[in-house]
Amino acid sequence: MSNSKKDASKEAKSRLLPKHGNVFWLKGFAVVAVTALFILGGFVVLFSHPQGSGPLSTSVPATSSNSVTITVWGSGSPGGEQHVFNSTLAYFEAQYPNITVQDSPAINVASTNFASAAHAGNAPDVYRDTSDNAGALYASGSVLNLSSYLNQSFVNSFTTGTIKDWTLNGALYGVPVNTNGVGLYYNMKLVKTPPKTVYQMLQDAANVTKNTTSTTNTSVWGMPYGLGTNYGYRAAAWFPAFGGQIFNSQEVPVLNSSQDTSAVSFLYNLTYVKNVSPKGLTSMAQEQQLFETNRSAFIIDGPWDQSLYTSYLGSNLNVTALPYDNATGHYPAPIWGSIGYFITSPQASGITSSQIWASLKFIQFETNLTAQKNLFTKAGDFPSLKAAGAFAANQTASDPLAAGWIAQEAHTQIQPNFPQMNFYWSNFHTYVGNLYDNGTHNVSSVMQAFQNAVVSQINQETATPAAPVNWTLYGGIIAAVVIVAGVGAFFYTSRKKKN
Amino acid sequence: MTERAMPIKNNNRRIDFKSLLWILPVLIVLAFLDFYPILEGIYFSLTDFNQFHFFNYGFVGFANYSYIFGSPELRTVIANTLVWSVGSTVVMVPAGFMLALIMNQKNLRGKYIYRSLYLFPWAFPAFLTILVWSNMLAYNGGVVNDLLGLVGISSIAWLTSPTYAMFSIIFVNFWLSFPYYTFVYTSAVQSIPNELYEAAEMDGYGSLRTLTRVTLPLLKRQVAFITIFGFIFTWNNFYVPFLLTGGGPGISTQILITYSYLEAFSYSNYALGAAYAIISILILLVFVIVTNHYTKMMSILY
Repeated sequence: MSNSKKDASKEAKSRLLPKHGNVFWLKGFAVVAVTALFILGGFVVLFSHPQGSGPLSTSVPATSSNSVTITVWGSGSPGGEQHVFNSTLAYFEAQYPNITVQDSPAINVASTNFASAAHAGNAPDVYRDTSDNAGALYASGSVLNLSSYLNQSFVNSFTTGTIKDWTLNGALYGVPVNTNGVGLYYNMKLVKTPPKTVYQMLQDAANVTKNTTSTTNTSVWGMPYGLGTNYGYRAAAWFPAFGGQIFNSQEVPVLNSSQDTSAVSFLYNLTYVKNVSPKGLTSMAQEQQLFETNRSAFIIDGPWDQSLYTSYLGSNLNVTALPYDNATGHYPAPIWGSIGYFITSPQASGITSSQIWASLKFIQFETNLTAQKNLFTKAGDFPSLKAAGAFAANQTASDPLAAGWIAQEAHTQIQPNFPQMNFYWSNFHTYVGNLYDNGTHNVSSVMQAFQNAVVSQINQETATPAAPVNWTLYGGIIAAVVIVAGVGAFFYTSRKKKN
Repeated sequence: MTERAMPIKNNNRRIDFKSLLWILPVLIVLAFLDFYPILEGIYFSLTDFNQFHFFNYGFVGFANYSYIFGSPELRTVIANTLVWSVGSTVVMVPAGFMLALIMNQKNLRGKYIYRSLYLFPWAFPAFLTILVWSNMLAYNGGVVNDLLGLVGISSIAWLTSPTYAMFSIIFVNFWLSFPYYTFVYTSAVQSIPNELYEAAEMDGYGSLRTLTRVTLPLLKRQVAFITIFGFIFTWNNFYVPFLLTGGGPGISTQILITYSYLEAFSYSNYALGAAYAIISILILLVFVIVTNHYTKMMSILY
């Protein structure tokens, strides 16, 4: 290329491209602006987070004639529960015309949205949640202690078990609207009489499986049980059957105990030794599909799926208590949890005293006798109120399934609601689920690893000392970084200029 | 002083405030959408923000990072993330490229029908596709195992065996992703002037020679960019492993981003979850810087 051509090219480039100086200044500005925004953002982040204050105590007016608006998350499962919620809400708004309820029915229990909203101070005033998840939220300071707001006669109108479900360290943090757990559903087409012992249950399951197994295929399974499904919720029922438990009375996990290991071995053996359950079950839906289509005799499940099973099996569906373990002399005891309503703390939602008053009225209305009777008849929810429980017991004659649930209610365990329980669910899924998937037979080592993981996580979350922030130190560090960056930028740009 | 230096010196003295004004909205948007969340994440990772210290959390320095680097899971999760990202990228990007070449053949009949068809897996809601695949790959009653059974092969635990679970999520991700890469490559291939292909034809180039001498050299930077982009996207692709295997069995399909979610929302350890996310970003950043140094793939953006 000749010199004249090069010059022409340079000239063309200089016309098309932005002037070098402008670019330089724009770059410089961008660097300074971005740095400034980072520093500014850093300070905003550091100072925008609440530090060191606990839940506020708030006095509540006895009555309020002013207009109050409260926000409510969750109205139950679609169908019966939501229908009852809405009809109760309509009565409530008619009785308290000065209270407006803004509800978000689509938000389920144990939603991760709640923690994010609470941390940002934007939680709803009332949330319908499970007692254990709410327990962890109470421990976090997001939930109001209702002990001082509710009189003792109101509290005494609920069953002792459900009140225990909603009590942590002596504080009542919510009002239960129902109570439930799992029992043993069976298909009467395949099993005529309910098993009274674990031995009978296994015999029934084995007979059903054996009678429908050819050389290559099993068409009906006795007792499909995916050990990794349900995150250990159903498995928890079997620890007491072997004399075990999840946490001891000091709230320390004891998952590597010989009793818990025996319980998991028993459940594991359903698939790999007794051969009454298929391998490879990854979800509850797969077990349900087998049960609904007459391809399994038993399923361990709760009343929330009862209407579904009834629609498939009709009068062949029945339920009974998980049977007595004749080998150990103990009954299985399903976790008997509860769903209820709690009111959020001022820190989590900015709730005012009149909103607390309105929220208290609302949750008392949604958990009253009429609402709970309706929930029992229209959604199959077992009541938490003693009076509603008596009503449910009277229905036994007309509802054969209710007898099974009443029998199960006699052998249950209170849902652990302290925050450490949070570590049980997913770790069960990870460790015990892996045992089932792999068919490794090494239950003891798996339970030891399970125990270690839970202990390690509890220690990590509780034992880390939270040091107070030394603002002088961090202010100094930020200033030093800015100075160093500024000096560096100066020398860098000086060198660029020289070049 | 040379002629060229003069305008630089003069321009340095002049700040173009109007230009600064134009970029200010971008900087503000960046600050709130990018910098603030990143800073917040970094800050949380240096605290003990969890269910026990939800409002009253404090600064703990690098304690969370120290815990993570001491945990036996980290190595497995990083290895899984690499296998997942590399395994997906090496399948879906070349497949997309090859399909784009096939679809751009001059004499191909019904190419509009094919284009509509291969768009289908991408346009279909991903969670539904994953649900369908989950049923198809089920150990009991899954259509894949049923088909294998017809040819005498016993059932395979596609989703519940540590050996096959990673393969399964990579395969489903490939199914979900290849139409996107095909479309991206289609536009890249179509940007090559037709005259070059005509010249190659006149010179007697065959298909392979045209590909290696014309198409690939001209798309070198696009290929590098799309590959790296695909890798980054897959690295942070949460929903396939989360919905298909939930990270299991065990932690055999847990990747950094799903593990971060697990820590934050299953164990309510938000600080540890944030620390995992920061580690994921840092590894990715180092990878991209090193790769860019060798491939100059980012030059496509300049």
